[in-house]
Amino acid sequence: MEAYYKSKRTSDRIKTSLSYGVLTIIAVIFIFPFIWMLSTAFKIPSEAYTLPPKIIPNTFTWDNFVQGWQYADFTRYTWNTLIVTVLATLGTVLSASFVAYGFARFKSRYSGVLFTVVLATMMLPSQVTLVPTYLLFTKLGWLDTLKPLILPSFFGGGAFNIFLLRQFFKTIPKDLDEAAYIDGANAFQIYYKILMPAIKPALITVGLMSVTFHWNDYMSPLIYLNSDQNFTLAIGLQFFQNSFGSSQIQMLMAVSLITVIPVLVLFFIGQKYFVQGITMTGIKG
Amino acid sequence: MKRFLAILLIGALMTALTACGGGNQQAEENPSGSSNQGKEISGDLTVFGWGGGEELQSRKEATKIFKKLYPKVKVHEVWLPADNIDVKLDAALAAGNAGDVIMMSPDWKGLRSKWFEDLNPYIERDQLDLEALFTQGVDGGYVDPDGKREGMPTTASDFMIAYNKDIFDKAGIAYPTNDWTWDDFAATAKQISSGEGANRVYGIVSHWILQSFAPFIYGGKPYNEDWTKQTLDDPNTLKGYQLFGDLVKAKAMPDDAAAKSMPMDQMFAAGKAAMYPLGLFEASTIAKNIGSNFKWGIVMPPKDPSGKTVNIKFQTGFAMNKDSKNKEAAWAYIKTVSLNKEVGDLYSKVNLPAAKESADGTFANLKIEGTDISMMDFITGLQDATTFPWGGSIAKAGDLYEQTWQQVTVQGKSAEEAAKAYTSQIQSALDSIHQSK
Repeated sequence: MEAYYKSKRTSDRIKTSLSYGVLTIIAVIFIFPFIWMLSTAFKIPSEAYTLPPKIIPNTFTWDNFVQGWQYADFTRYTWNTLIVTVLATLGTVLSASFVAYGFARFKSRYSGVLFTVVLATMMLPSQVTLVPTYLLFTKLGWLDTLKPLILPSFFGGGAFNIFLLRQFFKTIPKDLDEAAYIDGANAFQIYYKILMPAIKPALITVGLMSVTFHWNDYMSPLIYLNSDQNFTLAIGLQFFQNSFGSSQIQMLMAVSLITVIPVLVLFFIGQKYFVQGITMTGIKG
Repeated sequence: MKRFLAILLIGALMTALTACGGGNQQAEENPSGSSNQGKEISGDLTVFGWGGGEELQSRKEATKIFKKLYPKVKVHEVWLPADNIDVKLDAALAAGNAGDVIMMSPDWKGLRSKWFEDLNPYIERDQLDLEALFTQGVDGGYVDPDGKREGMPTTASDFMIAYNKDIFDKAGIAYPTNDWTWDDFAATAKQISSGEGANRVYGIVSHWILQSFAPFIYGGKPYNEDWTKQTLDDPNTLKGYQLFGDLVKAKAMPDDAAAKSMPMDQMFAAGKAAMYPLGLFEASTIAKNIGSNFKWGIVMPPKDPSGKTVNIKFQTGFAMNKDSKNKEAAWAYIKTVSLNKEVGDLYSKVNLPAAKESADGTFANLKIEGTDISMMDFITGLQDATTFPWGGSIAKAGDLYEQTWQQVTVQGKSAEEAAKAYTSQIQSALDSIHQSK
C-alpha cells in the first residue's frame, strides 16, 4: 500500500513538474516580445539589430524616451485616449448590462429572435458598416471629434458583452428578483440594487476588455479623426512608421512601453475578477 | 443623496462629451510675408495626406512653404498614418469630405477612377514644360491611357542592391558592378551563401520587393500596357519567377520559415545576408542600423537580357479632388509641392524630389553618413524604373500574382505549374477592373 502511495506521489510530482515546465516555456514565449520591447527601448539604433540579440544593451540610453515623447504631442494623445477609454468603458458597462438584464429577465414572443439578431451583429465585418456609419457621423457633425469613439458605446455596448452579461445574469436565481418585487422594488431597482452588485466580476471583465480595446483601438480613430489635437495614442504610435513600413524602432518601442503600462497595471489589479468572470460565465451559463 | 450623485454623474458625463467635440476649427497660422504670385488666390483649402517619420515632416514643412507663398489661402491639414489609409480614403471620398488635394501614387486605386480632376488644362494654361521641369522617370503613371492627367508627382524612390563587403571579402568574391546581369546575381547569391541552420548566411534576403522585380528580370512583364491581358505565362516572365524559386531551393535566399524568423532589414543589418534590395526610402534608416557593424556598398540592380537595368519605383504625388470648392488654390498647392525648388530641396532629405533642379543639385550632393553611397545612382536608377506593379486598381490581381510567387518560393512548385493554376483567375481580376470602371 505504501509502495502504491509512494509511486503515486512520484507520478504526481513528475506531472506537476512537467506542467510547470510547459507553462514556463509558454510564458517565456509570450513574454519575449515584451522583453524585446523593453530592451530595444533602451538601445541605440545600431544595437537593435545585432545577432545574437542582446537583451541587455551595451550602450544604455534614455534618449529614446525623451525624443520619442517629443516626436509628437503624446501628452495630448494620452489625454484624448484617457477620455475615450474612460467614457466608452462606462458606456459599455452600463448599456451592455442594461440590455443583458432585459434579455435575461424579460420574456416576450420576440426575445429569442431579437437576441439572435444581436448576436448576428458579431458576424458583420466592420468594413460593411464603415461607409454608412462614416456618413452618419458626418451628417451629425461628429467627424473629427471624440464623439464617434465614445457615444456608440452607450447604445448596447457590443453583442459579445451583452452575451457575456446575460449568461451571468442567468446564473443568479430569480427568487432574488421575486423577493425584491414582494418588498416593493421595481424592475430598475432590482437591476440596480440587487443584480448589479451580484455580477461584479462579470462587470469588471467587460470593463477590462473595453479598456484594452479602446486604449489600443487604431481603426476608429483613423477613420473619424483628422486633427492632431484630437488624435489618440494608437494613431500617434503609427507616425513612427513611414509609408513603406520602415520605422524608428527604438523610439517606437520606448513610447509603446510608456503607453502599455497603464493597461498592464489595470489588468494586474483586475485579473482576479477577470478570471472569475470568465470562469463563472463558462461553467454556469 | 444617491439621486443627487446620479444627476451629478450625468452632468459630468454630458460636460465631458461636449468638451470632446469641436476643436478642429482652430485657425491656421498664416505667416507674414507676401508674394505677388499668391496675392490673388484665397479661400479655404484642405490638404489630405499620410505618412510618418521624416517623410511626413517634410510634407508638413512643404505646406508651410505654400502658406508663405499664398498667405491668403487658409490651409486645413489632415495628416494621418499610412497604415490602412485606403479605408479612410474610401469613406471620405464617398462622403465627399476627402479634402481639396489628396496625396496620391500612380499605383493607388484612386487613379483611373472618377474622383480626380484632369490637370492638363491647368498645365496648359500655365504653360508648364513638365519634361524640362521634372526629374527623369518621376512622372510615369500619372497620365491615363486616355490622356487624363490624374496627379502631379512630388517624390519618388527606387532600389539599389546593397551588399555586405565583409561577407564578399571573406568569401573571396568580387563586388558586383553596375553591368551585372540577373544570371550573375543568381550565381553570386548561390556562391556566397554559407553555413547551416541558425548560422546560415544567405546570398540575398527574402525582401517583399523581389516579387515585383521577378516578372521583369528576363524582359517579361506581368500584364500588358492597358491592363487588359495577363502575361504571367510569357516564357520570359516565368523565367524570372523561376530564378527566385531556384534561389530558395539552393538556400541562397531564406525559405518561408527562415524569412519569418526576423525582419529582412534586420537580417541584412545583422550580417546574416550578403545582399539586400535597398529602397531609397529606407537607406538612411538602414545605414543607422548597420552603424559600424560592417562595411557595405550599393550597386544598381542587374540588367535584363536587353541590357536595361531592371528597377521598381514608388512615386508619391498629389491629385485634385473633382468636388473641390477651391480649385485655383488646390492647383496652386499641387504646383508648389511638385515643382517649387525650396520644397524640392526639403524633400531631398527623405526622397528623390520631382523638381529636376532639386534632384540634380541638392539631392545628388547628399551623403549618407558612414557610407560612400552616391545619390546619383538613385537618380539614374529611376530613369528606366517600372512603377510598382501591384498597387491600386490592380491590387486584386496583385494578390493573385503574390499567390503565384508563394507557390514558387514557398511551396517549391515550378513557375510553369504555378502559372497554370493562376492565369485564368488573374485574367478575370483584370477583366473586372475594366468592367467596374
